[in-house]
Amino acid sequence: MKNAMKVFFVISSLLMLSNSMCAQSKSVVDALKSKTEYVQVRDYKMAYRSMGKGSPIILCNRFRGTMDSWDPAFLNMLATQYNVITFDYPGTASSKGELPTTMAGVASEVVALANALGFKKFIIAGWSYGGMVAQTMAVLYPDPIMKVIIFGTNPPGQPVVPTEAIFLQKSGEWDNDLADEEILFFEPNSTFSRKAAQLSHDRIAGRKSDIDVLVQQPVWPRYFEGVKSFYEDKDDVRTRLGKAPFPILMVAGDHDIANFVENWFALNRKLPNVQLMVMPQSGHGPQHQYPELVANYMMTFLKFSSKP
Amino acid sequence: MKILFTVLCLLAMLGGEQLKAQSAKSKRDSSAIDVKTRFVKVNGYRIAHRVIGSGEPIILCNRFRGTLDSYDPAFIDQLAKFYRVIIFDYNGVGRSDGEFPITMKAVAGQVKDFATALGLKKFVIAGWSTGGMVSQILAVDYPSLITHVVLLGTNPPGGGPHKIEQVFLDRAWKPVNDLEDETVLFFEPASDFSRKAAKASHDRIAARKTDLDLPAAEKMWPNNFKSVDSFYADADNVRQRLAKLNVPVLMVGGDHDSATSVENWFELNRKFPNVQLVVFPQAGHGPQHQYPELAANYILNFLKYSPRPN
Repeated sequence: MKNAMKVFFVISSLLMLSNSMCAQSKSVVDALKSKTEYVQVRDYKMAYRSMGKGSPIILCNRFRGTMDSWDPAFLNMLATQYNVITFDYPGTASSKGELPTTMAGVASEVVALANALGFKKFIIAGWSYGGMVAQTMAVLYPDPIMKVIIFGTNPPGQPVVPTEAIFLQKSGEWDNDLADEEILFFEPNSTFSRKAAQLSHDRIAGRKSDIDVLVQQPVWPRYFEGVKSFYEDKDDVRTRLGKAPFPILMVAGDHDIANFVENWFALNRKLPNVQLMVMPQSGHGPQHQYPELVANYMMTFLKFSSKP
Repeated sequence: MKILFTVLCLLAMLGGEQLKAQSAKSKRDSSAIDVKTRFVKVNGYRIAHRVIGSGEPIILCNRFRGTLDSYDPAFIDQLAKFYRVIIFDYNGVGRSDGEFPITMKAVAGQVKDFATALGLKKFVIAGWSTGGMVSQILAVDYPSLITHVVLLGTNPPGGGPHKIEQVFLDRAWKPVNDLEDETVLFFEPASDFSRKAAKASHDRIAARKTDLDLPAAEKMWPNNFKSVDSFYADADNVRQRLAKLNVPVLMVGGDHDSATSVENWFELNRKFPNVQLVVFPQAGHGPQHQYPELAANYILNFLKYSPRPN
């Protein structure tokens, strides 16, 4: 009897151990250690990083954003359940090729990246300029897209409230320090947001090797041409977005001086597939200020939203 | 060694599945559909209530004419996976004694006394429509009791320029509301998707067959409207006090709420440093009935991951 008890205890403790090991091998992802890889897209090599397992989420970046511009806390949370892909647009940072000057052109390159990585179905997500890429993709290339997540971005067409001059000025400076980042991506009027800016900055600075290069100045005007095409909206992305057959989540800061959330308020009831989330005391980068909260809202959206 | 490890992993997973199945069973036993009605004396009056799930308490305050049977079980059961959800009838409503007060402040005081009678020291206050107004006042009047505020289909304190639509009032005052009334009152009748959701939610609610609540007595309806008026008059300056509350607030709205328009929250953008806003498309006054699992899970995320505003 005593022996039986001993055997029982050994087995049950082994079970517990193996259980925790199984759990570990599933969920440990460290965005700071994700390796830069390269994939042949058309006639150029594109730089990307891949984290986590599950359905792919392709994250499209902001103006001047590189693979190092994402907050690791945000990426790590998403990567607990998804295969998160970050990349550099063609002609930016570590990717060869040339950045197209229309949103439709950029969207086509991101589709090519997804094909090169062998994704038949994926979630498209994007921040700011990347949110415009994602919306354009959703309309022009809907087949492989499962769901759409956008944040700190504008709807298609002419915005009601334009970007503030201070944002354009700061985003056009070569060296952006923490104070600039507060203005660009946070809410400088809020102590809470400034603290969050510092924390996010430090998390990003945690990466010490395999660091991406910055987007060179001659490319910058090409982004603006793309944004211009998105606002001119010759492809009528605005109307077609509302008819897209998948749910869309838009996450905004309540004071985004680049892409005002008021531009989404103005379209209330016009887009039957868009869920809108507004985060307080925050600016152009709500996912940097509330990385875990926003990532979890996104995962809930992905898990529980049905076709509109 | 590798094989042994794999076998152990498999065994452990099997064990986990069994545990999951067991807890799913115990969850079924405490579903909103069959949980028993309880009563507690508060200030001499019997208050009817039900408790679903276990964990930190969430007190859910109801809408105009809402009773214990007005909540969608799919929404309640999702929350109850992680929280102790408490629903109740206000004084003078359903099977609760007493009278519905004529100020929202007095209603909030009664809910606070109810929480005290249940022995709750800290809780999440949540509310739908009238209940959202009660929650906002309770939060500013008794902040030490509150960890989070969750609002569904409701107005900010002081109301706003976007008024209640006549089509809502016409249905809200009918003695008995059928599915078509519910579609107008709580959904978006212009959307097929929302109409289907209305039917599905109606059927889920109708699944409860025994221990049913009574309808809200008609003679108390005017008092409820007077309370709403007091919330819009906002003599106690709840609007400014809410903005200063160091507690996270989540407001869940439908994009076309004909009773408490979400545009009233748009008007106050940047005025509340603690309010997160979620707007559901093709939805009306009851977004949590249209998107029960999605709305409940956003609420669960909010409760788990929201930092304090300052």
